[in-house]
Amino acid sequence: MTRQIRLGVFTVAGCGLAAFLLWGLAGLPGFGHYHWPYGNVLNQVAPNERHTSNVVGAVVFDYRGFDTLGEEFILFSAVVGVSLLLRKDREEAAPADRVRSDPIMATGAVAAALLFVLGLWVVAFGYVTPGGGFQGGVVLAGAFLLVYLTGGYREYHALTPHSPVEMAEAIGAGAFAILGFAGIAYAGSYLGNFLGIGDAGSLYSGGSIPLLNWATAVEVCAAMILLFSEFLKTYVIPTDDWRPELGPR
Amino acid sequence: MKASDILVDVFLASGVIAQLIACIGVVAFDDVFDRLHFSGAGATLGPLLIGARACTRNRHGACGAAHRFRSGRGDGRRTVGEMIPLQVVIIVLVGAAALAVVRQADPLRQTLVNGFYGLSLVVLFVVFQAPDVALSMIVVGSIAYPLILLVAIARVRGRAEDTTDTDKQ
Repeated sequence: MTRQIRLGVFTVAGCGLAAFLLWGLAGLPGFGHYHWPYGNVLNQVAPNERHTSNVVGAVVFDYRGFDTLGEEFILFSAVVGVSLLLRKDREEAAPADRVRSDPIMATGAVAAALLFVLGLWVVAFGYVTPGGGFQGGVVLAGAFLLVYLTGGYREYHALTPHSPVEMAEAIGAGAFAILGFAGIAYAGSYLGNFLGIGDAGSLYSGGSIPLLNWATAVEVCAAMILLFSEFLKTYVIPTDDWRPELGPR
Repeated sequence: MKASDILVDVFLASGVIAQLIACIGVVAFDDVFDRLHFSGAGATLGPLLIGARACTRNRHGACGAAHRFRSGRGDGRRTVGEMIPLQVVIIVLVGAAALAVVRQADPLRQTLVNGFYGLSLVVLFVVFQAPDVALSMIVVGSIAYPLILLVAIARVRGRAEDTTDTDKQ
């Protein structure tokens, strides 16, 4: 392709994109407003009905719990897709990637531990303060990534053995679906809230929201770890002196 | 049977078939790049056809943009809220950070600047009262995404060095 043809194609595509963008922008509601009453209704109703002080949590795990089930399985199948896509037939030699600076390793260990605790907090109080299973799960997975960044693949692999993580992902996704059936049994509808709503502002609030919250956290954390493990396996397995299958020599 | 009904069926059938072929392709091929062709088609062609089916079938309900555009016009004058100065500042900052990422030529430095861009997005979410989103953006923007970029850059550079070594020999 010559430069001119490329420029022509870009001009046509760019104009099309600009037209669609302007069309979409013209349809946006004014700043701070939107057309539907749903959000305002929920802000009024959720704190009384579910005793959750974070309405986002109540929407994600209760009022629109079925949507979240779909999202969970999107993540689940995305991870399955990535492992299918990146499955390897042959091992390639890659440079060893150990971090050798003691201060960095020490800082990393402290930071990873702090991040892990922060993740647990974000998950646990997901329906009281901003946070929740999705965000907290990503934060938890971030703690493991920090171990890789400031330590090495060996430390990361020791903390995240493949089959338990895979199992955790499946258990997290399955628990969400099964809790839905518990809703049929005890509340009369799939994913219906079947526990007492508890006290607003405390960890015991929101009925079955905490259970769904933790199931999501486990699923998301394990899924993120699996994604990164697949990615790291493709790029950085140090094959010169150590293989994860054989363990340290 | 109307023409639009037939069109609906054609869109749905071709969308599902495209998706199926994409899945089979991902499983069947041995090379990662061959598989990527199919995963790309699975992420674009199938959903596009199925989306086209939804638009043809239910012009007002499913195709939200068209519906919103019309109802937005019907209101007459749109109500516009006040934007506080802090929000304007952070929007400008995000724009500047994004520009800085694009302007940086060296991939390694680009990754670093990109981390700052992610951080500015976190502040943006907080300022626009979306702390839930900000929490996940912290990890994705400042750990996960830079990590993927760094690993890829390290690998590509390692390969480049390998080829120059063999050239010398």
